[in-house]
Amino acid sequence: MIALTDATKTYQQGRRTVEAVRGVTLTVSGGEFVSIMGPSGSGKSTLMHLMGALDTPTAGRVAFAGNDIGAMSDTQRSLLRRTRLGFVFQAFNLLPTLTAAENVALPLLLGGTARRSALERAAAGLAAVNLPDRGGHFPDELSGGEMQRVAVARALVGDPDAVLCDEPTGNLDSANSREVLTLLAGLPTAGRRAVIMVTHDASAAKYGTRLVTLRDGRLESDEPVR
Amino acid sequence: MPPLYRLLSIRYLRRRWDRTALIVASIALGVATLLSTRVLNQCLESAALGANAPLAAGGDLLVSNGEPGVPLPLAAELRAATLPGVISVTPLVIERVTLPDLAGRSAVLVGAELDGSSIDGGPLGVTFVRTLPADFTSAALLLTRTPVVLSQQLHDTWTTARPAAISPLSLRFGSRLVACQPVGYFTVAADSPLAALGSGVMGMAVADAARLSRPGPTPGLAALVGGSAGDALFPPRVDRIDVRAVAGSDLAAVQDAVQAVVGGRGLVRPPDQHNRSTQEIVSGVQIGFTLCSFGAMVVGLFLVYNAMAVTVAERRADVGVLRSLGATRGQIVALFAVAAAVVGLVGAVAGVLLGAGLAQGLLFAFRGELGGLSVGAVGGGWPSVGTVVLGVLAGTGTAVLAGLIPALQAATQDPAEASCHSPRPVGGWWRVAHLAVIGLLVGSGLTAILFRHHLPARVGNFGGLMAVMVGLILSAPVSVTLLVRLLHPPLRRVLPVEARLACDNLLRAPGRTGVVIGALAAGVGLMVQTAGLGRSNREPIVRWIDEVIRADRMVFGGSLTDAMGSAAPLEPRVAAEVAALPGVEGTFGIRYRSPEFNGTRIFLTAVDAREYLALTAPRLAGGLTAYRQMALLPGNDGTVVSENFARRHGVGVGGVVELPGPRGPVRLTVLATMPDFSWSRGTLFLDRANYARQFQDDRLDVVHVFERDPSAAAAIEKYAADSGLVVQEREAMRAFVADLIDRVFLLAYLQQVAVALVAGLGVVTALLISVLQRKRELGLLLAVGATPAQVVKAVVWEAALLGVFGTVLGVAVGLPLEWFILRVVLLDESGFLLPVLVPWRAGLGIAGGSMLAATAAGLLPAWRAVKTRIPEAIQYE
Repeated sequence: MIALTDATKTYQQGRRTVEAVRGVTLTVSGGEFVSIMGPSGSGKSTLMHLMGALDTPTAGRVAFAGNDIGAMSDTQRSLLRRTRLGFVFQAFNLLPTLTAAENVALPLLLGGTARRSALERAAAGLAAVNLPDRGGHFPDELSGGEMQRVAVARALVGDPDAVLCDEPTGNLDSANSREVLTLLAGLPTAGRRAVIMVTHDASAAKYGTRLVTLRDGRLESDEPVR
Repeated sequence: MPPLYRLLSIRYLRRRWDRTALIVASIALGVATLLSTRVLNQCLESAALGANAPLAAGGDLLVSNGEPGVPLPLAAELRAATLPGVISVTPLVIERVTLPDLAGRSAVLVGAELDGSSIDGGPLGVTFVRTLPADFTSAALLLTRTPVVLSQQLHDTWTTARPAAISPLSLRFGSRLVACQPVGYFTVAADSPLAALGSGVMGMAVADAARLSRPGPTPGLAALVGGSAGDALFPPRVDRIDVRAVAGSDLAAVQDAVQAVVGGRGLVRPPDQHNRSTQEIVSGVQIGFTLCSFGAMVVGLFLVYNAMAVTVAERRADVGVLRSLGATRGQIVALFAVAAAVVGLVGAVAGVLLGAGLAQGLLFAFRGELGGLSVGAVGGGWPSVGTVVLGVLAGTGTAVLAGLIPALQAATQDPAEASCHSPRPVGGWWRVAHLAVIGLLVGSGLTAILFRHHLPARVGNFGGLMAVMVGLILSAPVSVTLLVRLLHPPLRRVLPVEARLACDNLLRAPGRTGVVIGALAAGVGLMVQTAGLGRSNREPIVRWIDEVIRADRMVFGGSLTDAMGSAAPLEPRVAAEVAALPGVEGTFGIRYRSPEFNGTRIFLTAVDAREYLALTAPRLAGGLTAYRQMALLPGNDGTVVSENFARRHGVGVGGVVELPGPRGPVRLTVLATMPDFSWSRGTLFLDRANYARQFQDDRLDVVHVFERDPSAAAAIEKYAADSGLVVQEREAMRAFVADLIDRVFLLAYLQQVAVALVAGLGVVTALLISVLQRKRELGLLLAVGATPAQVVKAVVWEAALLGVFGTVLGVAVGLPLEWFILRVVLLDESGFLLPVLVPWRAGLGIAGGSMLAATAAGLLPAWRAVKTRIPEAIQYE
């Protein structure tokens, strides 16, 4: 589903050129739950940005379902993210001015779905993450765990092929972390949906089916989780 | 609006209601200034056109000859010529008169051909109803009274007010009192040109009206001309003859044919050309007012830009989320553009309402002058649909334009980048584009000013000034950075810690604060400039009036405005009769005219020069200085011109000025120039005897009276009361002129107060944004032990510093701007060479007020700052 071939990403930080990802080759298929680990500055988030079409490689190739992301226009990448990918961030990244249901419905509204239909699907999504009664609440009225579950519902509302998570339990206590990770672990379906999770927490990584380790932007190991 | 944008934009605006309210208020003030100025301009134009052509043209061509008028028999000649393409020929006289029997109310007298079988229909579109019985008594009354027809409303008023059924209706035009007999009333069709004159209209046979408006020569004048009086030599003269052409005919050919019959007795022009000279005078003032109102809009634009830029920065994380969820760049631009449009629309609607109220207030302040200027009714002062639409579009467009650059900047961010916590510094090419735009605006503005004489009228001066001003506001972030960097080291040494923090913050965010300081500087600069212009105009003009007007009293018809115009002329005997009153040392009369010359309207002052010199000079300790050249006029056919006339029209001593006269053009040789501030297009001075002979007009507009002893006052008052005239003391005239100048500048002040208010709102916005952006820093300050009072001081110090820098820059811009307006714009426009006086007192007040207001604007954000919850602030970001 997602294939990186010798992918490299460099960017300028002041006068310094930073090589965040260096020649990574990696393939993620449907049904997999891939955990990406590594120390700070190892290039985990940058790798996830590349896999999620949030960014394009400086060199090498990143393909989604055989299509080169680097060759796509900005609008094509937007459409790809909207229709086939879902994201969950460490800081939840819910829009504070929208209710939980509206936050979940946002990708559908961006795609032109009618408001009523979008909110109906959002309500179903919230029910699926055990928040059936919280749709009318604003983010500042929710706990951290609830906010992250809303973020998961938002990632799933478009029925994506892949869900990309950047430290999804980084701001959660252990109980909420367990709940969210269990939720994520249940998402991959045979040959269909993949979950890619960046984390620095070894216990969280164990929820995956495969563990990829990065160091200094390079792929250090890629092995199944025992 | 699509639900997505309603959800994302409106919800955000509601959440940030305080900032939204400030933007709305900025837009509303800008639109209100624009709208009220436009309404005032429309009324000014309507009043000026009302003075020149009060009755809309009932024809395709107008035959006119300035104030001397065209001979009435010319209408018959044109009809007799049966010119191809000509349908109708309508001679007209239009004057404003007063009706002493109806509590002195004014009315518009229209002299038209009423003596045909019927006046129904025709070019004036009226329906006549006779009310005077057709019997012997009525016929007898009409032998001694002038027949008139009244508008229905006037007729109803007269019917109620008359003491007896056969009472006459008295009509006063200047010092002439005419006994009239109303024959009936008329109603006008909605599309009649008479409809614009209001409800107080009366009709009179054109020959009668012509004799009233331009009476035949007195025996003395007839002797001067050397011929016998009579219609052959002195035919009645009308204001104009309207010629209607066959639809679809070659108007130029008809114009040539009519001109061939008219010859040198008048000019044949389409109505728009006829009004052009009047519009030329008004347009200068209109452009000045409009520029001031655009100034408010431009300042508002920068402040909205500032607020929108910060909104974009604040919503950077939201943009990142939206982009990661699949929002396209276009959707991001639309998101901010919709927010700007909504805010702009709300502000524009509020501005329209505020502007309509402001316009009413301004028109109330100037009602006397506007009413005195126009013969007909001046419009009610409510904005037209077009003006409202313009206001709404201007407000919304300004907000969208201001929001566009921040919106585009937001959309250019990559989603991965937008998700990062620290914003990327402003890109190099944005900075280059910023500097390039500043250079382009200032450079093109200065070039336009330098080459203004090669560009269409006023484009160089006004357009160039506007471009330079916008460029200077845009350059404010750069100049503020330089200024703060320069002052930063010494200020850090002397200021307390709170002020040092504020100073550091200014230096850290020159983009945010620079635009606000620029806007404040624009407001202060415009106010200082106006104060300077006010002083530079008022002092020399009042000094000049003190010298040239030395009479104790003035006698005239109508109001003080009429005393300096020719709307209520007096018969020449008035000067002699007043001179013969007990205690009066002497009098001289003045006739004012405003003939067309060189595509505009100039001022002509015909004065009894010998009497003026004899009476005025002894009352001046140093003798006459300004008007000493008046001594050349007695017994001379030439003219002395004002210095501004010579400059503006390029006619010096020995040159010739040609004006329309009753018997063709009158050529006047320039004898000398002298300082005079009567009229912005220049003034000609003639000896009144010479004027009366050449222009066949010996009437007066005002009689200046010099008293020998105090007993004269009562005698003059009694004479005036008996004659239906008005008397004013010299001090009242002087105060009237000074007050008029003050009110004109008050209008400019009002516009600039709006600019300053917008700038003040900008200070509040900037500081609220500063508090928001520094939430973490302020939280840390509180966490490490700063007291709330210290935090308040830090924010208020920042406000005060914004005020100080804005005021310093404003004064630095305002004084050169005053010089530019006086020595370039005003000199080109009017030829007046006025001294550039520094408005010390007003300037200090403006500077103090500006700094105080800016400091006060910091209180609300300071209160917000101390309400910061420390744990929340530290977690922020």
